[in-house]
Amino acid sequence: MNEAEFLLRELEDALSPDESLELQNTIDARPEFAVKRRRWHRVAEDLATTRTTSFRPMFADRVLVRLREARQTGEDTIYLHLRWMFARVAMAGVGLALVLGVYNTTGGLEFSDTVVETLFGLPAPSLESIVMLADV
Amino acid sequence: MCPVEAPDDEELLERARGGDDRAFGILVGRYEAIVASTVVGMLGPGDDAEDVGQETFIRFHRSLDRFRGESSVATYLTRIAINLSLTALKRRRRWMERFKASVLVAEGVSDGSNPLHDRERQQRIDRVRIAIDALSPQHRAIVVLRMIDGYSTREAAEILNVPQGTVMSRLARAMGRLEWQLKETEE
Repeated sequence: MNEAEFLLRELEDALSPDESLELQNTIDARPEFAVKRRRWHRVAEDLATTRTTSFRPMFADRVLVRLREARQTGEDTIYLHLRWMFARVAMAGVGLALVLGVYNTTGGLEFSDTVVETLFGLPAPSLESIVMLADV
Repeated sequence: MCPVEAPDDEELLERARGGDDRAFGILVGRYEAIVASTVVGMLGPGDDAEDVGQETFIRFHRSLDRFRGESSVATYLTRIAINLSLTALKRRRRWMERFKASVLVAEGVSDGSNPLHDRERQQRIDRVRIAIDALSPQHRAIVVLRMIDGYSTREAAEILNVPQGTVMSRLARAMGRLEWQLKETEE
């Protein structure tokens, strides 16, 4: 465990009794580590003081108003329809890819070199196609 | 007269799925603190945070049918809040690049007890927020989840869908940067 991990685990209260003892020994032996530890504890305290536990008053009411507005404008309905459509289109796409993959491997192009090329129906590059690409 | 017990999450979720807005409103009130902590930690206080906070609950409402309790409501909401905050940060960065806007600083929160103490505390919070703003979105997300929201390393890893080792290494780097930046502003 490195220095930083040691300190973070201490801040999380996750050190075992043996590790706590080891930490204390390190603090006693190395003053610069003790300084770093003090600073990290201070940073942790400072961070904790910035915690905000509420928005402006009546937050729940504003959320509910927005929810009703979304319903009235049909925003929610559009979202639900898009989600429904996407699920179907994605499923159909995967199905189609599977069918094409099976077709390509069983009765498709026979001159592909690798499994991936066969699966996607890609012909292996020939000398002719390389020359054509080079000309382009 | 026997006291009325507050309905549990499961019951409220069921009612909300059936279109009961009041039940959903109770859930919003119950989890506002968790979402506010994440969103304000990521974006700082202001209209952006409020907007993302609202959007988090709207998205949650849309996904009620799919939410089957694999994770807790808090974890689920935090995941939505973090993702929306990251998107908002991207949008903000594009906006800032275009208009070269100045750095946003937190609005003051005071309990009115000691003005001098409050001012010092507020200045300190402002410095911390500026230091958080200087972190990359990924590092910021880890710092917010672990150090502000109080999630464990395992939970933070689950929310961000990264290995625990990644959480530790990013957090160590972020803490190093924060330490350096806060030391700089103090000197």
